[in-house]
Amino acid sequence: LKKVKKVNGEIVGINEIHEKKPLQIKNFGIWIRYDSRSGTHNMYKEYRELTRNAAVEACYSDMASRHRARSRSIQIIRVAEVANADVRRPYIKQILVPGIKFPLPHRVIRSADKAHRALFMGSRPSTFY
Amino acid sequence: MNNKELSPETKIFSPSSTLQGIQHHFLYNDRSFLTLRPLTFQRVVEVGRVVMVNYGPDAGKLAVIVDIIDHNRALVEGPTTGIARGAYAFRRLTLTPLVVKVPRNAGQAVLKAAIEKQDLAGSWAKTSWAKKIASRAQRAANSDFDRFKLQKYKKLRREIVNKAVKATKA
Repeated sequence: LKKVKKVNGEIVGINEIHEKKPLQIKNFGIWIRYDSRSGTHNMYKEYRELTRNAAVEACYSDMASRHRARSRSIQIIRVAEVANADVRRPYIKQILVPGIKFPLPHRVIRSADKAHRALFMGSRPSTFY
Repeated sequence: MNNKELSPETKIFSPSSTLQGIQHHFLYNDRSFLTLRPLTFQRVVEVGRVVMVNYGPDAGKLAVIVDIIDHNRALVEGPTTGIARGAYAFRRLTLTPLVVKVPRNAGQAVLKAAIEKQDLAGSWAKTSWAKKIASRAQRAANSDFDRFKLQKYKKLRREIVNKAVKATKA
């Protein structure tokens, strides 16, 4: 990994990567190197997103929640689109089942906008869909 | 939902065709082999499920699930109701009992053709859900004269009903 401290370097340009097909769901495999409290580790994580940017954002959020890794401790080595057949992680594979369907067992009824939020309810709501 | 017990002489047809489109499944490990139990969850997230967006600028509009992203989000589009294809969280959707037959990841043209062929707007309007929405909207849009007319009609109905009830008691 090329190392350069911020003082020694110069940011030449920042460009947003625009997605070629933002309405197509893709599986992204992300290779990460991150510092935990007691060492630095490599990781490979998969995300199912519409754009590369969304996948990377999901990765940073995920690392922060699962490993308490701040973005400063994370180096993203590689982001690559992964075909359905090459997906490694079971939590992504379970979505790739053809003809997938599942119910939503717990329904929370929310108001359509903030103005119509009710503070009190007359009767206990039903969470059956 | 009551258990539908079939007598041993009854032929076993495919469950979904005999029981009015309600999904049932066979319980092979059930000792009473011929018992068909209805699935608890009828409204299921699947490709083609019609959903109503319940939050945001498009609230109240129907759309169709085109693809499933993960257990929280789906790719949803409503070409006939003006919802552009996009990722929606299930939090922002309400599943309806209606389904459109489309292949996974169908394009907008294919989806629109399938919706129109099935007359989704018509079958939606027939549901009591849609009728309730319509009556609520009508009530909110009633002018004073409409409310006056409604009052008179209700009074007329009340008189007819009460007269009939009294006649049965006499």
